[in-house]
Amino acid sequence: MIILFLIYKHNLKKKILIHDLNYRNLSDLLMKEWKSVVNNMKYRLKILHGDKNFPNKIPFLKLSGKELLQGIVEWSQKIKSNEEFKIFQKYLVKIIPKLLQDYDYLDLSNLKKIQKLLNKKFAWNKKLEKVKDLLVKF
Amino acid sequence: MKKKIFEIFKKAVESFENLNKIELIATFGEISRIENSNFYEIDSFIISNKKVHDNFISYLQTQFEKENFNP
Repeated sequence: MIILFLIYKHNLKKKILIHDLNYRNLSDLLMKEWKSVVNNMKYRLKILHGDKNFPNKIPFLKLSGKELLQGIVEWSQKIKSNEEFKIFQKYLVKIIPKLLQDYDYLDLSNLKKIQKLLNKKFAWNKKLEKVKDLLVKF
Repeated sequence: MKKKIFEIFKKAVESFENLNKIELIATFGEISRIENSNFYEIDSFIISNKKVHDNFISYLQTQFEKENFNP
């Protein structure tokens, strides 16, 4: 479960949003989270207190390309404006290299095509349609 | 700013009085800034019971407020 805490004062210029993830133990984590999130945690936790070896105890969960990209596919189908697409595109630019690195046992060649596509300049809605076409082929 | 946010988080962990009741605290991924805004995001990862967890988050909130969070 993710609880969002918005910390702010009206007179503060900077604000912080804390995505707050809480689990009772490793089993609870494995039960609650999507496989792709669990795998991401395995590689990207920075331990500040407790067992520094904890990430090594998180199992790497094998998953299909479809399972891996399910969230991105669903997101792509909800985009209705250029602003929404910009946020989506920024996320893809950030996440695709990580996915290619973490899931080298999968054929993610379409993600490489999406990477190239995102670097080209043309209308956002046409670009979105091409990205969606490539995503559904997984 | 991202470094400052991480330091505030880290200091909050170190100074939390019930730290021994929390099994694990981590950050997850990178601190990010929402484009064209003054909002920053951080993913906090905690293994503990809910009560202690809620206390920590409340404490963390006060630590950010104390720092005035204004560069």
